[in-house]
Amino acid sequence: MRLSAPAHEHGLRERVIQRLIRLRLDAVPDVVLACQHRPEFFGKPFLAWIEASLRGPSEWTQGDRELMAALVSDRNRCAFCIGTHSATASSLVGEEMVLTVLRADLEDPDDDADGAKISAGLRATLAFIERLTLSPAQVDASDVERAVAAGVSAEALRDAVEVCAAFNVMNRVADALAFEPQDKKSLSFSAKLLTTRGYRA
Amino acid sequence: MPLHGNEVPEALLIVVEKVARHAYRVTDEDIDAAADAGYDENELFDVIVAAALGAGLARRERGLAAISDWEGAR
Repeated sequence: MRLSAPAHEHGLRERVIQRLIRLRLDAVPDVVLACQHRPEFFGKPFLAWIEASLRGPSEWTQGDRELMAALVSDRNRCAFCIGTHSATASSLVGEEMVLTVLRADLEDPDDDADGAKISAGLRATLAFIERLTLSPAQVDASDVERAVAAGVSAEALRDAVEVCAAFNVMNRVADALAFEPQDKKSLSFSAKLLTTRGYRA
Repeated sequence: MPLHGNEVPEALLIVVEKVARHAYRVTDEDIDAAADAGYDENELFDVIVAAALGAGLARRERGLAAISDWEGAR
């Protein structure tokens, strides 16, 4: 990690949790360290937002929303978050679907991600949040119309916007602080923790 | 650090701009230059979080507004 304050300055409770993680992993993932640095300022409120948007009540499954998180991270080229959320999404919807979606040209209707067997609604929603990530100024009601025509409700689209926005924050913090991508063991530990316990701090 | 008027050091603007636009391009040198301009680690952490939140919340606002516009036009 780039700054030593988020890497090393933590309270007692946070250090105890880090000690427990070190019993299982060689290193505490940088995202944990950053969220535990002055948690009242960033980690606590931010993780509450992530927990609500990825695990709260929604028409989308957890797998759908982890796939959205992986897609946003991929389009923002955030290696750390691509790793964590591809692994988490893969454990829920299968690795092949994740890889197919990340490779797909979602703006091109002929390049369907059908190989991944996703619904037209999810595909249209992924295209919507891709656009919101890469060219937010161009997003308007006509983009919403396309998603609705594919069967997505306004409420489901709002839920996807929350995931998209939260990951646009996370990706930036991760890359600005140069989070070290997790190794295989760390990724499978994180995927398991995030699918069973979620994002509660 | 104390600022005079609207004067924000170029090095800090570069960090904010990169975090907002394409955070994967932020380098060690960018962060070092902002530190050399007088910002300590906690201030840099705050600035990075703030710039990231700004970019994320702008997308949230835009997305939700597009949905409301669509609903209003129905």
